[in-house]
Amino acid sequence: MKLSTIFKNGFVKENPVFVQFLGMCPVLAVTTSAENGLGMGLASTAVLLGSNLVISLIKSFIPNKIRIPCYIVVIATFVTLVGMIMEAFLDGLHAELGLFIPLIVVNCLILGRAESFASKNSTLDSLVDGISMGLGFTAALVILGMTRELLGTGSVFGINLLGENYPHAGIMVAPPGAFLALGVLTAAFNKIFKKNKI
Amino acid sequence: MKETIKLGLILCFITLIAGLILGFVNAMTEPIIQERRLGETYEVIEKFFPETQDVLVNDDLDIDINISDLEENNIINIYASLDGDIIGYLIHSSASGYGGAVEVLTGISLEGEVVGIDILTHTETSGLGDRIEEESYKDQYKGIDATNSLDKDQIDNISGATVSARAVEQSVDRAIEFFIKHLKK
Repeated sequence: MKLSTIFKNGFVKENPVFVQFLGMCPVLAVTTSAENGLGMGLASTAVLLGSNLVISLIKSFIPNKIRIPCYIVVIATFVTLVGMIMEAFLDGLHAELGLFIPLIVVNCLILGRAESFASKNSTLDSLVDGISMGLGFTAALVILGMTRELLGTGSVFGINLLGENYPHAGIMVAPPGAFLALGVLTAAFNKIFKKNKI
Repeated sequence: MKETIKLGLILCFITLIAGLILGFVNAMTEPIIQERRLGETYEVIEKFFPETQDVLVNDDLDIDINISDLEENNIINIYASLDGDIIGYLIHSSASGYGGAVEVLTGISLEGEVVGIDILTHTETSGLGDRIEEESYKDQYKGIDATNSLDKDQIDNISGATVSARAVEQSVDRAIEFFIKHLKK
């Protein structure tokens, strides 16, 4: 597979959120603002990169029968590392994302890529796949976060865009709004990109 | 049988490497995290006692306490704020909330009045339990008499977050009890 094909994959054709519908828990819970979506997306990308890299490196060493527990150990280790580093150097974001950082371990996207890609492809390919899926995930989170934040508070990344008199649609930053926004954005995404066969 | 042992050993080896890496990174990040938490605590101390010139912690304080006394009463740290002499105490205590320990810093003036509380750490439900961090909830504790046991009826709960609010109450209760037993003049 060409590297450029792998790289484009995660953004449109197999977008983790709008096409694969993976990692729904953080997608819905953490996208209350664009900044949180970005932070969670980047943290998940860091873990995905690390786990794809390591798993593709040791894939010949892992016996098939215990591959799932091995992948999980690798993923959990990276999540813990990312969590510790965030708590030490990015504590504002760490406080915002809170309990959802450890939950990156059970983000199906990461285990999914390990099983379906990293365990079967070269290290370079796996690295590019990790970047692609991770950034595609992050882009989806940011778009979703921006939508919910804009409609719910009138701001995007904290910058007020709709003025003082905008009546906040509070529901958009609450759980029901997450489902509503995700549904509409997924419909829009598939409508736009189904036409251009990428 | 032999294969099972081999699988087990491989898994063990992988987790061993993982554990070593985690231990190493933890050793590097832990001091940074602790220092930042300490800095946050000092900020709260200055908020409660603006005239603070110096802070004493635990053993530095000239009181009759042992580590076991602290742990028994779920007290994590005792701070004394000084402006020459001691002007007040801050007691870092904890209680079980809905999602884990809720750690509270209770500021008590020398005269025995609660100056305020600060929620240091918690893992309560966001949107519900974390409302214990709202100013309107925390303000209820200002001015409470710390020379007598906490009268829990005077604190309004948070609907939908009873367990979290009760954890705060219990934490403050423990701080006040400790103040009465060991620090009150």
